[in-house]
Amino acid sequence: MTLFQQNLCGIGRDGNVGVQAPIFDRWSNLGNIGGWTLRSLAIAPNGWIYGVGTQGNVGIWGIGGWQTQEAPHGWTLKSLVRGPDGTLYGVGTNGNVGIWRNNAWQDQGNLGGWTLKMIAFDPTGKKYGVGTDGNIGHWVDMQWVDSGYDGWTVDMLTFDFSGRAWCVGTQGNIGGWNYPGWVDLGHFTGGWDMAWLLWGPMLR
Amino acid sequence: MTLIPRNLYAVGRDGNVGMTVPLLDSWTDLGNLGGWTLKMLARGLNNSLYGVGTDGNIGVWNGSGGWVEQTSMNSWAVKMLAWAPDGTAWGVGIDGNVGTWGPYGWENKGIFGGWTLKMLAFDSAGVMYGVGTEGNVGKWLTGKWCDPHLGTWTLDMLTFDSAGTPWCVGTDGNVGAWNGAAWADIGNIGGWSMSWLYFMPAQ
Repeated sequence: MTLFQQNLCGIGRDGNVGVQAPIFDRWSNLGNIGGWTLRSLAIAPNGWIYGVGTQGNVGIWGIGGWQTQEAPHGWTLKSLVRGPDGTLYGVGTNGNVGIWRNNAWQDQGNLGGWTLKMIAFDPTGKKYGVGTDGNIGHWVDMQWVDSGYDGWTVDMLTFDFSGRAWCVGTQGNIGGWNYPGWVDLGHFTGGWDMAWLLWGPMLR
Repeated sequence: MTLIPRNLYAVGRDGNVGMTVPLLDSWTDLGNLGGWTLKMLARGLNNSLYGVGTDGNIGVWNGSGGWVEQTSMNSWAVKMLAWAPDGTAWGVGIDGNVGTWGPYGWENKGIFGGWTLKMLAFDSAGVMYGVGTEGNVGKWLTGKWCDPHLGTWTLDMLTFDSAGTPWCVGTDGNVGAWNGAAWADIGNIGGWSMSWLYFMPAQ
């Protein structure tokens, strides 16, 4: 398994952001970018970067910092994600799910009966949820079913561009999926306790 | 507008290394890696990463935080290293002379083509370019330095990105990208005065 993938970005538990420097196998601390302590990050197909602060506030990264004017508003959030059809999903601080439409959050409640930490999509568009107990579900036929990503309690789940699943365990450690289980990559990101991982577009 | 490539690393004039953070359109300082103040970075055979320190010393990055001194190559103090597409390692000594590295050590080619050099570079076709100590640029053709028609800037270094586009560091430490007719001034990326540019190869 390649540890040091290109364009890996993460949030530490202090809300600071780190990035991978692949040729040096090194992690670089960007600090609390834009002055925000962050909880999660998301990237939209148009390249916009959404940040969710630890106060549940949402911003879009622009020149000079976080812009809030065009950002979804009205809820305090744990996380955001763009679905494959472009739909913007938010997980509220109460674990409920919202869909951003017509400039407002439409409350979907506790999707499938779960209170959630976050939602993720794999590259084929399959939807996954991480419950507040650290469990992972796969959304099939309007319900959460066993995802197959078993064995750990996790804080978040994401996928790189090859489709490999990655997670942050509840101990702040990083897992890389290598069937049939998670490989514990520990705290290879500079020794940080992690809160979030994000892969940007592949480098050209 | 010329975009800063996503795979750009650079050495600043303080010998520290920086890299682009494409997601956030920003620049990050990786510091004096391995405790070295660097002049330049180069990709050697098998994608090994070479660094030349400000004392002209040569090291290979060992992947876990340090430079491994290349004792035999350090028989010369060099300004820089470059690998030609045929795998030959070329160096510019601190006196501006040129050498190639072979089984018997450095082969001194002297003041190559009559120029004292800052550095050498190869394009993807294997054509050699030289930057003279006056900041002038030449293209090595038919045994002599010829005008490469790369504008009017005086340069500290010249390189080529993965698409073959020439990039340079001007003598003011600013970065230039060749737009086909002239150098587009990218300025001082991250506010840095640059010494060297390095494009990470595709992985």
